[in-house]
This record gives sequence, structure tokens and C-alpha cells, in this order.
Amino acid sequence: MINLVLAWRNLWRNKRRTLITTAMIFLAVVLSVTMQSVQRGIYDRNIDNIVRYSMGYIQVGAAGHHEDKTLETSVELTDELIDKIKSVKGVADVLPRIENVGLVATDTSSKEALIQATDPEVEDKLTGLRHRVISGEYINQSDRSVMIASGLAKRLRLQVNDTIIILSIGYHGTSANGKYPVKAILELGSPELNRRMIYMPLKMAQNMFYLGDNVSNISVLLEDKRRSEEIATEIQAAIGDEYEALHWKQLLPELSQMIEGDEASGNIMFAILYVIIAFGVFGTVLMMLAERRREFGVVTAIGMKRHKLAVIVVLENFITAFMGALLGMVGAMGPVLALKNNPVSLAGDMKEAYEKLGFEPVITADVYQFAFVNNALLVFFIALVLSIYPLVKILRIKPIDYLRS
Amino acid sequence: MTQTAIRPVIETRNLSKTYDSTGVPVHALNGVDLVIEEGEFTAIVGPSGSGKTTLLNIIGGLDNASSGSAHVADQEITGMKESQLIDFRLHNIGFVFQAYNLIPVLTAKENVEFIMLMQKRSKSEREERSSALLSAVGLQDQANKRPLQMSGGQQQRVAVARALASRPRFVLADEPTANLDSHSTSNLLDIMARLNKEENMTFVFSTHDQRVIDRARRVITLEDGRIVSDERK
Ligand SMILES: Nc1ncnc2c1ncn2[C@@H]1O[C@H](COP(=O)(O)OP(=O)(O)OP(=O)(O)O)[C@@H](O)[C@H]1O
Ligand SMILES: [Mg+2]
Repeated sequence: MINLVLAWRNLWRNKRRTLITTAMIFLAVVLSVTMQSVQRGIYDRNIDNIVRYSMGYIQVGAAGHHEDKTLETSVELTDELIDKIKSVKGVADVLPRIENVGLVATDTSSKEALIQATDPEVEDKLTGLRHRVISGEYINQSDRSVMIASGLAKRLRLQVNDTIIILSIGYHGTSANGKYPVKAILELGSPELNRRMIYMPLKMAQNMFYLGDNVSNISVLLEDKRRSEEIATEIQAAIGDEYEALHWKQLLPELSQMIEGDEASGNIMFAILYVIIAFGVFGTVLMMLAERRREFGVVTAIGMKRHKLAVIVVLENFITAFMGALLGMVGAMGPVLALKNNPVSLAGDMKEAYEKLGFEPVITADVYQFAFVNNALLVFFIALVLSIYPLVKILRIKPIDYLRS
Repeated sequence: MTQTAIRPVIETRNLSKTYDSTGVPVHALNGVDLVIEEGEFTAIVGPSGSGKTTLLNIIGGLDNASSGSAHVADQEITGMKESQLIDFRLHNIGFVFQAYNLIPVLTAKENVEFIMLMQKRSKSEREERSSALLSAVGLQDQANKRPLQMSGGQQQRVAVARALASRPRFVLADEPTANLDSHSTSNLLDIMARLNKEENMTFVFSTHDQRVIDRARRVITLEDGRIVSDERK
């Protein structure tokens, strides 16, 4: 108790120094927690844009489907398969999908498109696709009409109620063509998907592509998308080698590598920031040791054990670290929550740069607990490292050397 | 018939100290034989560089002798390790240094209690004794002030109170009045003399100040690391 009192009072002996040190730690923590939470928020949003709207965090298909994404590797949708997938803990729902490529044509032009067919109701539950409708009306399972992404619509100069012709290849090489009205136009987050997507009801696609009860694959809806890797393994075990269960990092290795690389370069930046801060704080530790030389001499001369003195000085370091880290975490909550609740849309050059990466040009953030915990731990680790020198110094004090000025 | 000899609190034999740090050896003490009995009120005097501080530091277990022996508070302290010496000092010696004796972030009372806390004395004992001692040095109404809010003389009086708080065998004070004006000096000496008398506390202090020397009951003069005179009044 007296140790805490002494440490606390010692800290406020030189208010300015303690405030500056705390402020440095505060700034470092706010900066890196915010940046990391923003990074995470943007990744999650874009992973979501790409993964959720096109394939799901986990995708189950016939073995080999990922290698050869044609209808020839489609899988028969049986109740037994669905039950096996749903029996795995953490699986919330499943969404059978048909994916194909085709040519979408109007009277005047034609473009290549990605065709995706699902049960529109389940799709909406999974992806909130209904909210992406910017004009027209969301399709339902019994419709014989399509929804088309706004980028594609623009390229083909299409509007709601216009009619398009789809030219494609069905199961076993059959030619699959059809003429359908556009019921809705959708604005998708991923710029790439927004240029190419076309949605239709599952039943209609099964007929059009002569698939019978087959689907391309089954998207698996998870309770916690961060557990996709382990759940994929469990599903695989449940369904056997006839099928494959892949998580999004396997489905999109480039995206996951890009994110890891981006995170790694971000981490290097924050490491440098912390090293700079650590040197600054170390300077104040050295100043403190020099200023209190005589005092250390007196207290050890009158009989204070050196390890007890060391405990106080180390406590001082940790209290400063604690204050800086705590204030920093609280301080980071502000911008993180603001960006989480009100994502900022980018414009101009930034917008283009994001779109080039295939990212939605939006800055957002996620309350990234890992960043909060990690940065706090990092600050404590630095405090620990910065305590080594004073600790060694104090444990070796010979009072007579410290009493002479 | 057995005679209970009064055991000396301090007894040195042929104590010598040579500093070698600069390359040129400095013989700070040259064979000092000194016996100090309980209850004495002794001044160590001598010109600057004569070895007063060196002698007090060795007796106080703050420095090691180069040769000779120092038997202090019933223990042979020459050859003790620093970790043992810390404990020895805590329980046997009260220190008053020239200045800046106190822990700046603690109040007068807390400074006095602190040393008893290190000795693991009970809270009630700490509170009683610190109050009593602060009264004894005339600072009962300054108990809650921090060192920087007190004059140099008051700080030295707190240091004396702290020195006694640990119930030491004797108090060592190296030039305790060097930074004080004459009024504060005589005030501090009054207090020390009274505690010497009333509590039979042994005091050993060094000084340059003739008025302080006049108050001592024994004056030991050092020159070039040797005792050249030893007078009792
Ligand atoms: N750490 C040291 N290294 C080298 N020489 C030292 C050291 N400490 C003291 N001396 C020398 O030892 C001798 C005695 O010094 P000491 O400090 O004991 O004298 P003093 O009587 O206390 O002097 P003063 O009245 O100035 O305080 C001096 O010549 C001094 O220069
Ligand atoms: Mg001296």
C-alpha cells in the first residue's frame, strides 16, 4: 500500500513530465487502435462484400468444384447433405446457389456477366440483398425475372422493366438461353461484382440450365464468421470426401494474402511508432533516475531494502503505462464508434484508388477487440522492458556513491 | 565478584581507509582506534579532508574499511555484504545527513513513520512514536507538511525525529548543521542534547562549527586520518 502511495505521489512530483509521458502513450494507443480498427473495419466490409454476396464464408460443393467451377461439378441438393451441414455447431443456415457465366444482351449491346441464382428470401436473410435494390422490386422464388447490378445495367443502358436476353451453356453442354424482364437494379458494394452480377431465382435457373435438383454449391451461413476456418474443417469431416467444404481464405487466396500483407506493413509502421515512444519514455526514466540519485542514497542508507525501492520505481512505470493505455483505449472508442456507425464515403482520387483495389470506397471501422487488447499489452510490455534498466541500477545501489553529489 | 562492564557501542581498532579510485592512493584514515560508550555526545572535528566523513561512513556501515576492525552495536561490520549492512543500519543506526534527508513526497509524520514501517512496527506504535518524536523536536503542528514546505532547520529536526524513531543504538550525523543559520543550529543542538539526556541516546556528529563543538561533551579531533586529540568535558 505504501508502495502504491509512494509511486503515485512520485509520479505527480513532476506533473509535466508524467503528463507528457502519459500523453505520448495515449497518442500511440489511440492512433494504432483506431488505425487497426479502421483497417479491420474496411477489410471486414470488403470481405463481406465479396464473400457474402458471391460465395459465403464457407462453401460446400462436390469434390473438385472449386478447381472446375462449371456446372459439370454441380452437386445434388439432398436433405441428407443439408442435415449433415446443419448438424455442425456454429452453422446458422445454408443457401444453395447456382453460379454460371453468360452473355447478357440487349438490342444494341452485350456484356459478359456472372449469373447467380438462389432462393431470394434466404439470400436476403444471408446478405440483406433486398436493401441493395435501388430501383424496381426484389424478386421472389416463383418469379421469372432477374435483378441486375447497377454497373452492368449502366454498361448495357438498362432500366427496370427492360427485357434482356441471356445466352449461356447449361448442364452437359446444353445451350441455355432465355429472355427475361429486369425486375430490379441493385447497388453492390464490391465494384467488381457491381459491374457483372445478375441475380435470378434458383428454380428458374435450374430449369434454364437443365440442372434438375443440382446446384453449383451451397453457401454456409455462420453464427460467427471469424470461426470460418475451424467450422469448415468440421463440416468437411461431417460430409466426407465426396464433397468439399472450403472457407473463404481458400476460395479467395489472393484477397486473404493481400489483407495479411497489408496488415503486416501496418504492423511495421506501428512498431516504429512504439519504438519512438519507448525511446522518449526511456529518456524520462533516465532523467528521473538522475534527479532522484540523492534520495535513493538516503533511503537505502537509512535501511530501505533496494528491491523495495525498485518495486516503487517499477510501479511508477506501470501506473504511467496503465493510465496511457486506458485513456488511449477510451480515446480510440470515439473515432472507432463514429466510423463504425457512420461510414464515410470517399470521393475523388481516394475513391479511384480504392476501386482499383476492388474495394468499396468507404472508410469504416470495427470495434476490433484484438487491437485494443494487443496495444494495451504492448504498452505494458514496453513498460516492462523500460523497467529493466532502473531495476538493475537500483538493485546495485551503494548508498555512499549516491549520497556524494 | 563479577563486574558488568559497560560495553562500548562503537569500537574501532587500527581502522584504515585508502581510496584508490583516482590512481593516486589517498590515505583517508590511518589507524584509528576509537571507543564510544553508550550515552555519549561526541563531536568529530578536524580540517576539511581530515577523514571525518570517511570515519562516520565506516562506523555507519556505509563504507568498508581497507584494514582494521569496526565493532559496532555488538557486531563486527567489517566484511559484511551490502545486503546485510542495509538491515544492520535499519535496526541499529539513526542517520542525519547534511541536507535533503527526507523523502520529498511524504509529510513530516510519514517520513518519521516510514522507517518504522520498514522495521515492520505496528500501526499504533508508529503513530504514537511519530507524534511523540515530532513533539519532542517541536514540530507537532508541522506534521502534515512536506519537506519542501518546511525550512532547512525544520527539515533537520524531522530528520532527527526519524533517526530516533527506529530506536537505534546511536545516531550518526555528518555535519547536520552545515546548511543551517545560527538560530536553527542552536535549536537543533538543544534538541539533540535533550534527547541525549532524556532518552540516553548516543550521538556522534561531525562539524566545523565552533558553537556546535562547544556543545559537545567529548571532542575528537582528526588530522590526516589520525586522532590527534580526544577531550572530554
Ligand atoms: N570516494 C573518494 N575517492 C577518493 N578520495 C576520497 C573519496 N572520499 C574522500 N576522499 C578523500 O579522503 C580524504 C578524507 O575525506 P573526508 O570526506 O573523509 O574528509 P572530511 O573530514 O569529511 O572533509 P570535509 O570536512 O570537507 O567534509 C580526503 O582527502 C578526500 O579527498
Ligand atoms: Mg565530510
